[in-house]
Order: sequence, then C-alpha cells, then structure tokens
Amino acid sequence: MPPDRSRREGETITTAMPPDRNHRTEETSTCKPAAPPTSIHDLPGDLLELVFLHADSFVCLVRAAATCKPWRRVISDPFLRRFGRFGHYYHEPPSKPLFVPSPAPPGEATVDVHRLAVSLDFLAHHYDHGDVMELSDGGSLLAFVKNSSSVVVCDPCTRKQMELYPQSPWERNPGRYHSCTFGAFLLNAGDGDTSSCSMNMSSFRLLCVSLVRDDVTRTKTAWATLISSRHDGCWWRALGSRDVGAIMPRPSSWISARTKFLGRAGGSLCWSGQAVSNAVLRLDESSGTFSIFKLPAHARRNHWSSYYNRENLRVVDGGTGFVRLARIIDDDLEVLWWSHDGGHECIVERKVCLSQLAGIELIKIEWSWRFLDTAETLNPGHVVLLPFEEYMWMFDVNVETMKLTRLRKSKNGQAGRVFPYELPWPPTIKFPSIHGEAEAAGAILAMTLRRYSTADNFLGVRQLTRVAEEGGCLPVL
Amino acid sequence: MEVDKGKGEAEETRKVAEADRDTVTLKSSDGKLFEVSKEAAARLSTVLAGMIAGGSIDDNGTDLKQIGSEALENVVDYCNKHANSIPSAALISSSISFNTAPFKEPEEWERKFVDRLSHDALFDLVEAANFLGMERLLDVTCHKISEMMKGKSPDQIREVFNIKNDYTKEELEEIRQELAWAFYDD
Repeated sequence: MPPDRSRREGETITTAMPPDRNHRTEETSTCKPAAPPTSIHDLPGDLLELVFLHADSFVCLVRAAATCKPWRRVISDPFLRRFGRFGHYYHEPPSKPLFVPSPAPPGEATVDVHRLAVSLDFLAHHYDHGDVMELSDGGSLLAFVKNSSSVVVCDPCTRKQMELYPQSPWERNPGRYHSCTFGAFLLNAGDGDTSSCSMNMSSFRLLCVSLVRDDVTRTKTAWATLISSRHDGCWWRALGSRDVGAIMPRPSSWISARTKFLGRAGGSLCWSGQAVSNAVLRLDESSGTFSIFKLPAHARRNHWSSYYNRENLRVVDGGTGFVRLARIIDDDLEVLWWSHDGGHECIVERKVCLSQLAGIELIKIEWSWRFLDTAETLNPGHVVLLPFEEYMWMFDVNVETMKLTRLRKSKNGQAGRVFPYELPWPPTIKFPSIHGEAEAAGAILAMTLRRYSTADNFLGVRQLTRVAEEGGCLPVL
Repeated sequence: MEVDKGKGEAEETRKVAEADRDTVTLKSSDGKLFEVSKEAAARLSTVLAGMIAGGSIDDNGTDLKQIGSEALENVVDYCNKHANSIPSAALISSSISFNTAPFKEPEEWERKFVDRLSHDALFDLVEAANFLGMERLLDVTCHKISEMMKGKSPDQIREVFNIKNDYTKEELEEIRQELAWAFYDD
C-alpha cells in the first residue's frame, strides 16, 4: 500500500505551506522517521511554554522551574511578563467569585490565560453559598466569611489559605450570646514596622464585624474586632461596639446584615438598617468605631424601594470623617453626604432625574432604575445604572459632575461586588545563583518573594485559636 | 484511492477529483496513508485548511514528512472524533466554574483521547498538532502534560518526565529557600 517514497521526496508540501503566524515550526526538530521516541526534552521552547501556560498555579511553575535548568530558562522573565496582571473579581452571592480579565493594553501582547493566577478552585471546599468576600487593595489577599462564623484568608497567587475564628469578649459566655460574623475586611498595613511591606499571609490586618445577640438583656450589638497576623503569630483586639437593636430589630438581621452591605470607600464601611428605619450603620476603619446616621426623608411612590440594599443605595466615595452615598428614589438619583460633624443627619448634595438625563422613557417609574456592578464601578465616584431589566444599555454616572455615559450591557452586570485584582506575582522571578545574574536584583526579588512564606505563622494561628477555644485569655495588642 | 497514475495526465483529473472528494489523504513520514474528512481537516487545522484552499493537496497522499505514522494516526483519529462530538452545554456556560479563562476545559472524549496515549505519543502529538496548526488539539495535549505536573514536587516531576536534575545541591537549596512558599507543602 505505501507508494514509492523516494519518488515524491522532492515534491513535499512543506514548500506549499501557507504562512501562518501561530504556526511554530522554526524550532521543531527535524524529520525523524527512525529517531528515538520523543521525550519532553524534544519539545522546543515555545511548545514547553504552551505547556507551562496550562499550569494550574504559580506554585506549579516554580516547581517546574526547579526541576532542571532548561525548564528554568523557559520559565524566564519574558515568559512571565506575558501574563496579564490585571482584572477584577466579580462576586454576587450565591454564585462563586468570577474573574474577569482586563483587556490587554493596546500594543501589548498578553497571553489570555489568566486562570493560572486567579483560579479560586482551591477554595472550593471552603466556599459556601452566599459568603461575603473581600479582596485587599491590589488583590494580594482575599478574605471571606464562612458560615457566618469563621473567616478564611487566602492568597490566590500562592494558593495558601488559613481559617480564623473571630474571638471576642462575648465568647467567654457562650450560653448567653449568639454571634454572627457578617463582614471581614483586609486593612492596608499602615502601622508598625512592616508598613513598607504590602500585605501577605504572614502579615495582614483583618477587620471583622459581628452582630451579637444577648439572650438575657435582649440587646443586639455590632462588634468590630481586629486580627493582626504577624511573623510571631496572630493577635486579636476588640475595637468599638454599638447597640444596633433599633436599626436591626428583627431576627432576620442575622442573615440580612451581610446582604445590607452598602460598600466601602475612604475608610468607611456602611450597612443599611432594616426596613423603614432609614438608618445607616457606619464603621470607621481606622478607629474601629461605629456611628449611625439617618438618610434624608423622601416622598417616594414605591414603598418597596424603602428597603435599602446595594441596588438602590450604595457608598460611592469617602474620606476622613465623611462618606458619600448614591441613592435611587423612583426616577431620581441623589448624592448624599454625611460627615462626622453633622451628627446623625446626612444631606442631599445633588439630585438629578435619571430618565431626563439619559433621554429615555420609562414604562413604570416605580420599578425602574437600579445600581449594577461592573468594571466601571471600580472608578471612585462612579455608579452604573440600568433603567430596567430588558434595556440593553447601562449608564455610568459620575456623581461629582453628574455626567452620564452610555455603556453596553454586559452579562456580568448585576448588583454584586467588584474587586480590582492585580497579580501580586513579580514577573521577574529569578533564581539568583543561576547565570550569575546581578546579586542585588536577585536579593530584592528574593525579599519580595519571601513575604509569601507562611510556614511558621500558620502554626501560630492554629495554636492561638485552640487556646482561645479552650477559654484561655487572648493576647491583646 | 487512486495510486501511481502517470504524472502528466494525473494533473487535470486530480484537480477535478479533488473538488468532488470529501476526504483528504495524508501521508506520514514513514509512508503510511491516512484518510480524513476534508471538512474536519479544514476546520481543525489551519495548515490543512490553507493547503486545501490553495489546491496543494495531493490525492495520492499529501506528504507530511515531519509527522510519524503513530502521531498522524492520532491526529486523524482526533479529527474524526471531533467531527462526531457535540459540544456539551455544561462547558459553554462558565458561570458555575471558578475558571473563566477563554480556554475551554477538555471535554470528556478529549480527556479520554489524550489519557490513553503514552508519554512519547503525547509529545509526538503535541509536535504534530503544532506543525499542522491545530490549536485545539495543541491546547488539549499541552493541558494534559501540565496536568501531569499538577501538585507534584520537583522530584516527582523529574520522575514523571524522566528529567535529569542538572542543578547542584547548593543551587537547589537556594531555590527552596528563596521561594519557600512554593515548596512549603513538600
């Protein structure tokens, strides 16, 4: 059956090969009918790269680089630079967090394989429906509340994780108090000796917010506690507390507290009170103290919309001692301003009629506008609005200028939360001893990488947690 | 299949016949012939698509002298299986998964397809897929190789791929120390 080979040797089709950019032939090994079996070493560098692009984590890449020098040469700076470093996580409970990569900047060839860095599949067994998630600035760490009782902190880059159990004064009398943790927020390292170093698994500060019900006095208290993780262990400190019985009166507060989160900006964390109380609970991140203020009264047509949540009320901006919120009342968008000096009141700073601004006609005003979360929401002072579900455009509004821009509706545009993510991975991985590369550069990078090390601290946390569970005293900073 | 016609007269008839046929014949480096559906070949391989469009397909077996018969058999097998498979709905929706990368996870049949291959055959297939510009097959095979490294220590990876460790003890120790987070679980 095989025809005479030699006769056709000269007219092989290699010459007729169409030019193809994706086609990697230059380095392919030569014709080898009788060659020994292909080993992985026969794969040219560009194909090895392709294999490494499919690695499930950076840990895997580092280990591959540590197997032999040829592989280390493939997993080099130019290779690592090809990874896009930016994107955002979109999280809308009960769905799992979703990573949305940023489009590559013009003129930059970025590999569209982001799964390596950002896949959270390693959390699968931890993650529960409806968990609250929080990403640190820049995204080096991620924290989420698990089952309303514990907090999981993880590093998406190194895939390390630890589970912490917020301990607080009330825990010493467990029969009397019931608590539910409804928020965990990573704070920027700002105090102490490690201020120059960014956050990592062995050095972070976590602000936890819990709602505690006292069965004896029938009171409800919001508690803020701070967890500091350092090289020598993990420390707890009770911060402010506030009676919230008046604004979160119903038992359902246990669950709804986390769904009533209005956002975080400029050091303020805000939650909406329940039902018609019109109250907002604010926590100052730097001091850990709570304050409660009232939203301005309104005459809206739709009673239902007085149940505030992130779809009709949200934090858009903030700074020292003030917070700015955007609120939708029927067809109006209001910008509200509260400052610490103003006490319990907050004022309407600006107000626009949305349908007029957007130049559209609404079918039913009462059930219209709502806030969405998209990549655009990440711009400070911006909100994204959708007139009604079937409408194909969203609108971006700058609450400072009240300028409106039309955006195409995206499938991720829901009222979830959006977190910017920047790969904390330094794309200049170097093993200093190889090729005699500049020692100084290597040392700096080694330092950067060393901060991911968690080994000693992990034990410290566990031990500490156990001590606390057994009723021992907690070390206090 | 028509073999060994006189070259002069073959030229015309071949062009006509080629347009009618719905398969193409490929010839491996060791001279074995394989037939594959023209439609599948054109859809899955940018190189074959270019050759079909450019009329450079040889009816008597298009010579692919870079690809051995075993690899070519796998390529053809893949093309045929691909033609018969229906993309599953579960893979189209990615919202249920943590992974949202553009790369679609291998489907069940693709997994089975690469799982049954020996290491050598797998590496050969990577090269063949690359040579023929078969993006999907290249992705699936490379994915399979990377899975073979998943969760393994450098030692285990070396064992799997029969890699010689050319680092010195000191160099390795240095790597382990500098990048301790990557080796912590060992």
